[in-house]
Amino acid sequence: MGIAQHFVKKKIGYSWLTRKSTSEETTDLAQAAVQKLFQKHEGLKKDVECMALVTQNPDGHGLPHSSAILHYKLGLPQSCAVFDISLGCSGYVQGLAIARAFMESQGFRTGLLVTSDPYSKIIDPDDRDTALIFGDGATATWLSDIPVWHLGCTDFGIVSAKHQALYVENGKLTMKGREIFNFAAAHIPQSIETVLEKARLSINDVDLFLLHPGSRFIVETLEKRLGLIGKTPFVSEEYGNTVSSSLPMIMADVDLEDSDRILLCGFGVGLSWATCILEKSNLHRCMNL
Amino acid sequence: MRKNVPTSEDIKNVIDSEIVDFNTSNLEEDHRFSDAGIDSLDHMDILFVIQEKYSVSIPDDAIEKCSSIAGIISYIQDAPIEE
Repeated sequence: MGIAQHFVKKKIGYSWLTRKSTSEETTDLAQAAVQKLFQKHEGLKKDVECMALVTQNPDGHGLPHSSAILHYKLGLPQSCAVFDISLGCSGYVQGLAIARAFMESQGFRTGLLVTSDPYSKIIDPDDRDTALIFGDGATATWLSDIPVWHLGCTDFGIVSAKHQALYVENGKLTMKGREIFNFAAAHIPQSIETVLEKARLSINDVDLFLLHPGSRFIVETLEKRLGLIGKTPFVSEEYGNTVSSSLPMIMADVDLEDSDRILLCGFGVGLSWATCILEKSNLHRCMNL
Repeated sequence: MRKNVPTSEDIKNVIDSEIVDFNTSNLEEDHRFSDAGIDSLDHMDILFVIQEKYSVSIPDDAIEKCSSIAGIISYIQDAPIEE
């Protein structure tokens, strides 16, 4: 594509990008993620009371909702409530807040938050603005009324006047990289400061800041602006920006054993952001000792 | 309202603060950033800081004009003041 390899590695940050096979659907990736979770924790499947699937690239034309197809593929209980959440890079944090509120209002004790948004469905392989950034991925997060991580203070927002900075036209993704960079540099530090202020915390009180890996350059720019040096792991080199799956994939890849409090910040499509604090429960802190 | 126009030194200070491994001491006013080894992402970052610091909007079609220190100064001199 005429882009120097060291630029790709040092600035964009991705040496490999994961791609689903052409025959695989969004719910196939999601199914694999959930099954991996069920294999690791046997007995969960029969207890699922609700499931939310975050995607903007659903199976087929989006009707029925992909969460219904995923529910069928997983053989979940008929009483399980399922719905899709149409959000991009801010989808995981917003999904956590939506799912928790839904569970609390309905008295549910258990649920699943699934992310699966394979951008390879909409990427033009010859478009240098997008083809070197996005990877396909899916994640499954178990939600419980006795969680390992508690959702703490949050901050959400959107600069909707810039919604055309990242959009699909004629089936292909178009991205205005400079507008997204300007959006992130202008609004994300403020959002993180807002959450810290709400939680009455300083940067030193948070063990890690997991920032959406739009690119290595964006993460490093935010790290520098906020003075977070050494606290923002970039671990997506070998799979790419997996949109709403990015943050839970970082959580899976980073050793959080010694972390009691982390901050998550997703930003992108919309152009929106969602920031939250996750706090390890006292029970699990004790178990880690 | 009086317009705040940066000097060459002001812009060099921005570049120094934004690009860790770059030496501005030999950067001439009319030296194109790309020829001096400043890549497109660092250029974008420099323009973001300039926009914030000098309350000026630099649209995409002005990026080419703002591709040197002299170009940025000239653009800001001619640009309307942002409210």
